[in-house]
Amino acid sequence: MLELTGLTKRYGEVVALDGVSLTARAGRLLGFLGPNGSGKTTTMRAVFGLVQLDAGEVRWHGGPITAAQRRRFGYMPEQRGLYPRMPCGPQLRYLARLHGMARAEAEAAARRWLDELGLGERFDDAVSQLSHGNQQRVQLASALVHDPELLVLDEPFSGLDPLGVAAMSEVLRERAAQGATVVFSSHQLDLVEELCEDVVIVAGGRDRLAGTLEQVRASSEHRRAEIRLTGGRALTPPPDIEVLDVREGVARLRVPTDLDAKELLDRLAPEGGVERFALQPPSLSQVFRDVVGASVRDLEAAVDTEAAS
Amino acid sequence: MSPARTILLIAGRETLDRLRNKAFVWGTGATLVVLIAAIVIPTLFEDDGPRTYDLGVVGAIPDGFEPALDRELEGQDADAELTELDDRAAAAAAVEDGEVVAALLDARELMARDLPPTTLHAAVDGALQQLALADELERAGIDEQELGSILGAHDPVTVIDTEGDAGEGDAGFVLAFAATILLFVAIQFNGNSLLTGAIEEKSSRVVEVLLGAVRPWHLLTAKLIALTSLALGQIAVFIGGALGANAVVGAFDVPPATPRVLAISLLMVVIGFTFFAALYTVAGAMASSVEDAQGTAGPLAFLTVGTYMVVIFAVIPSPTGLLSQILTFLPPTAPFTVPARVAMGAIPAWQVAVSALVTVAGTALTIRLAGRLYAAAVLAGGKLTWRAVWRAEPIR
Repeated sequence: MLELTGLTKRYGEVVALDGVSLTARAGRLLGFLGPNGSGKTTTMRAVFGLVQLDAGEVRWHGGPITAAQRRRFGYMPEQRGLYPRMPCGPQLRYLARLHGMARAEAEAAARRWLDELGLGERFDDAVSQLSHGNQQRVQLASALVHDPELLVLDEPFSGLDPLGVAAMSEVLRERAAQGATVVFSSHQLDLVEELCEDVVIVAGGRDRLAGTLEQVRASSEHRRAEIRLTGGRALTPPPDIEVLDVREGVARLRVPTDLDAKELLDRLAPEGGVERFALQPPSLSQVFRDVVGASVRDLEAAVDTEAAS
Repeated sequence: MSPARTILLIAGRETLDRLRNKAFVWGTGATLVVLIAAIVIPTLFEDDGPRTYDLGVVGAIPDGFEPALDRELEGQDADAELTELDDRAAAAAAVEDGEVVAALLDARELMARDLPPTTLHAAVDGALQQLALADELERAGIDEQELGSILGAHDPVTVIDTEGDAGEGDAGFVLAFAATILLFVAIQFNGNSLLTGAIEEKSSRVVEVLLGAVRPWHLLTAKLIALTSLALGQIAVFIGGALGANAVVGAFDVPPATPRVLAISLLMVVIGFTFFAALYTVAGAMASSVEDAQGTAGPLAFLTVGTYMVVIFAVIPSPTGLLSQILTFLPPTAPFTVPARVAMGAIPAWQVAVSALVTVAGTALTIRLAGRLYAAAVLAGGKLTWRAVWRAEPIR
């Protein structure tokens, strides 16, 4: 179990972390979600001792992390990187050995991972000779090659195509199923929604909401409804229901949680004639907006403006 | 896994990486070829055996002049061939045509185009003087045997240096240059590798992956071990190649280096290289591209070249001067200065000892400081100045 409590970090005037806490459990996937500039990378770096914290604690299995324990961690930094001129296989073998594996064991693990990711033939090719997508796979392998107990991935889905996202999700699920603790960050909340088992939502260097995916969704006061009246007839929504958009007769609505499905239907289509109706939990970005009071996009724009000024 | 194993693992990778680097291998090879060529080629244009001076002779010369002259020239690995000429005019013509290199006129004048060769001039004078002296002594009734023992009465003088140990003479001079030049070449040759190595890790972002498992000081120490070993290997190849080539062609007499000179030179080259290597690695970590590195490494290049120049133009001409003494005790300059002064026999033992201590301590401190600066620079984005990196916060 990885526990971060009250992590605080200032860079001069800038508050990067303002008391972030999170708990990640073995065998589960934790999504660490929030806009860019909300302190996700700093938090993850803190797990590897790459940040001198002003306050707060990082604990693994109930105690401070030792160097030996940290070698059983796998890290995929936001800024991807491998030695461009070094061949894939030897590079993975080297990284495995730096994490404490014996030579033969490291060699076998490097071959196994390259095979698994479909790059078995490229063992002796330099990383720079690989396509961008394949370089990403080797990068993932470099975080996994030593079979880590804790896997920390900073924005693992950024820059991946849908196939890549699916493949990455599959690998992360497998690792968690095999008992590893998996923490990944993302600012694309809706992209990773279905993957998360646990969620921590962070904004402004502080965790704002944490729990299982269902708990987090339940914390929102709104749900999503989707309705199409017969023949795509126009809809006149009641004043307490917000229309998000209407496309080809399908209206997407934001409705209060305490509004019962039957009551909602009655109010939207008193005369009946409903072609399609769905009531869903809120999306994570919706939850984010409810909890933080601003959308992910707004906060990122604010951070960019600050950085530019 | 102990830090030592981690460091060895990293150093192993760094070493292999350098050995697979074409620029390093070809650069070393090219330098070796140039070095060997510089030794071999001049010997191809040299006459084998002793140099022969053609000396014209006009008028009477003392009996036994020719053997006496040959004895004088023997020490200079030369001999003389005498040609009798009719008169002054014939001598002038022969000299002018280059038939003879000089002409001795009536055992009193030596005629040459411009100045006669110093060696020949001295030998002619010496031979004439000796013959005159022998003549006088014989006239005074001293027989030939006694004469021989009088003339060879004393051994060559022994040189004593009031400044300290006896110098190594010309050989020491060569060695003094050799250690200083080798250190300079090693830094120039490898400084860029150190820079690009650190930049590659930083710009490819692989360093953050590495830092998930190892500490910055592991990386820095391993780099220093790898590059210092390679630089020493390179120096060994150069020295080996030079000595090997010389063994074949016999271009020069190998200076009889004393173990003391060699040991001090080796120590100073190792420490000096490590000192500059640590700073070059920091300069590399401060840059985010090779172009940046020209700026961050600028002060180091200035320091190295400046020190080298000062040693060549100030220390070697005046090895016991005040400046030489000051430079002996400054860690960046001592490695260039001390081997030169030791080889020239121009440094008391206590100065060597104090300088070694100061330099070792200074380098140890520099490596520690470099470790801190490296840790501050390596994860920072963009290009840093030395002032910024000094103020930046190091990671563990």
